[in-house]
Amino acid sequence: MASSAARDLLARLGFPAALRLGTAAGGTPPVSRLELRIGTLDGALGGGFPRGRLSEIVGPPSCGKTALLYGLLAAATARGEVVALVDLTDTFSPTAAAAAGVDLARTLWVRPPSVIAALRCTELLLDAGGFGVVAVDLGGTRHPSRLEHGAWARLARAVERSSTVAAVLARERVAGTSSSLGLALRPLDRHWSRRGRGPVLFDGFDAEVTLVRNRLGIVGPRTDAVRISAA
Amino acid sequence: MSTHAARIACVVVPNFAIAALYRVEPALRAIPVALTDGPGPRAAIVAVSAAAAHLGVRTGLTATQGTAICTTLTLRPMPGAPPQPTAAAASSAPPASGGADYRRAAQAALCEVAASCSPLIEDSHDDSGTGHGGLVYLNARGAPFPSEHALGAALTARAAHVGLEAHVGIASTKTTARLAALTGSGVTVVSPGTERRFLAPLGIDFLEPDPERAAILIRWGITRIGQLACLSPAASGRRLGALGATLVRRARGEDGSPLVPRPMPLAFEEEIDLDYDIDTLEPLAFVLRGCLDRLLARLALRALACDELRLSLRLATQGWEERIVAVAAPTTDAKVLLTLARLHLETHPPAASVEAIRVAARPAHVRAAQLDLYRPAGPAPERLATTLARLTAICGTGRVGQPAIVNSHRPEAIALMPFDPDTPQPQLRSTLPPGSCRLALRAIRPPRPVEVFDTRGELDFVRGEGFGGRVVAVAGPWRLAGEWWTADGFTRDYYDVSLSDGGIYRIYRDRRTTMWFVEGEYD
Repeated sequence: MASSAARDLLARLGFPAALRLGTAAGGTPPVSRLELRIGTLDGALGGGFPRGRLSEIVGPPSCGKTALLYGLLAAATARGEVVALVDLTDTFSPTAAAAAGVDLARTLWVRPPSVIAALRCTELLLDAGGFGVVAVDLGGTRHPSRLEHGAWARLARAVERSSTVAAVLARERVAGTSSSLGLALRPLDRHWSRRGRGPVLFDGFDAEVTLVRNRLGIVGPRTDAVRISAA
Repeated sequence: MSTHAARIACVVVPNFAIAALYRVEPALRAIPVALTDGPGPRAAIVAVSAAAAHLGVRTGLTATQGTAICTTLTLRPMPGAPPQPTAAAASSAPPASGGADYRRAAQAALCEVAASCSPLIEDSHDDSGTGHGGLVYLNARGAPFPSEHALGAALTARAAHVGLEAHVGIASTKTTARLAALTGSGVTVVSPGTERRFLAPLGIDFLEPDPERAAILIRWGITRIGQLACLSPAASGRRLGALGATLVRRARGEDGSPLVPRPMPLAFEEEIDLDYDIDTLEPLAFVLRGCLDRLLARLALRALACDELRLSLRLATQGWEERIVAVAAPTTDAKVLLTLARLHLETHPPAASVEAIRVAARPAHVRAAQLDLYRPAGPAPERLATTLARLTAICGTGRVGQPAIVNSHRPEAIALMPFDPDTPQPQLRSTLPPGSCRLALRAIRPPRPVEVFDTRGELDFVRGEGFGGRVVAVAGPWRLAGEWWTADGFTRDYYDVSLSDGGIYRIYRDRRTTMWFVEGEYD
């Protein structure tokens, strides 16, 4: 009697060996994303920057990573969201950000004195909730890899409890396995022009964006050249 | 409720001084307590708790006699009593005292309890010190309750909410209402027309006759109010004077004194005198928490929130020191206020140990969050206020806020404003075409000097702190001059240079000093 009942249950629920993890009813809820509407970037990212996840934007100097970050802030503030920038190296330019479309009235600018303070501030902002984007600009900080992995894991957990896009900007990847998305930028052609007998002008450059880490999709796709223009 | 005669509710807190003490020190409820008229062993006991009275401690005894009767008796000086004369005396048995009067805050809390049920209240305690502490009258007619019992129950519950155990009497006259509250427990409602019957069994002491008339009445054999009520007011007036006639009318339940309502000032203040000086933040925060809880309980009765906190500390060496703790949005959350106060004290610690604390709240109506149908909700104002305070504590003043563009030709000019995402600001219009990304300049603040090598005016090599290389491409120059009308004017020739290290930088030559600086890095 008992064995037949067990057989019935197994027939209804499936045998343990036949079960596959991650196939429960409902499954993982789809990740909400913030669209940037910059070139083909959204397509490569699977719809935009993921909310509730930690993303990294990395690259060498003058590769366009700051332009991409301002684009992210602009996209969020254009939707009426409030954003926060934790600016470790104090390099945020309000004029450049406003020109890039960032609504400064909805931007909280935090200038911490150290890397540890920057991470603490980021955690506080994520815990406060309500921010569309919380970005940490580590800039050209020389040894961000010294940071404990636990700090990034804690940040990743904090952002998972929110619907915030958490973005880290650095020369190289620092968050390790705690980040869900890693974008590496590489500069391509630089554009200079001269109009008539006037001085030479710097018009901007092209950059290539590669997904070096993507826990929500495939790794490796590159975007078409993203034009980063001066005007 | 009845719709004919006047109906007056009286809220009474028995043994008010002790009840007010319990309000600021709830832990004392469990032990026998007595209040003395001053410090020292010879001070007279002026009020005793029920537990102390049960053990035989009475008013009029000295502090020494009280502690002899009850060894566990805790003595506190009555607020307003003279302070300890010397520091040496302070270290002896009785704790330090003087200054802050917790009875004032308790009376204000009781008035707020009454005001939460009726707009017409009469505070029996005034600044001159006359009248009864712990007693408030209010108009019971028209109160938004289904019955007078419900009104009384609400008054006692709200009094308990602010830390006071109150009795309520409701009757047609003030005297009857007061005696109903004093003699009953909980809520006592005297129906219209039954006042005389209710008062009859009570002793004439309850009418508080002056000693001369009280002696006459006892000589006449009148000990009960009912006996007094049988006399004719006119005849009593002839023998006992006008006061005697009034006494008889009150005994008959014919008290003609009306309710004299006074406007209630919206002042919310709590204070506490510390037993011992506090010189560390943790115990100070603990005491502050109690003050804030009491303050917010009072504010809640009036459906108000705290908009600003005024923190006054009496320091051991410098007297009172006042601080303003700004609150970004009106809040009723004690944790938020405590966090803000803590952060303020952390960043601006008191110069000496703290002897007394006074906390005042500026009341404001809670701002209902107006959500936008088409815009996502931002951070909650209360949490944002706390977060901003914490961020400021970490980063320092002037390093957290909303960036603003300064009306200046100087490229490095920036401004930081208080962060308020709900206040619209003038926005620089972006000319960015859709689908593209705007070149960003990472500012170097302040511009750092660099070495620039050139050949016949052509830039060859740039070397600065953390970067440097051969010039691969160059744009410029273009001249920027401004503020020439001030002593701090500037004239600069700007270049954009692409270096062999891969970076593109904006550099300029200061024409006044002929020095080169790097202003930022394009990224």
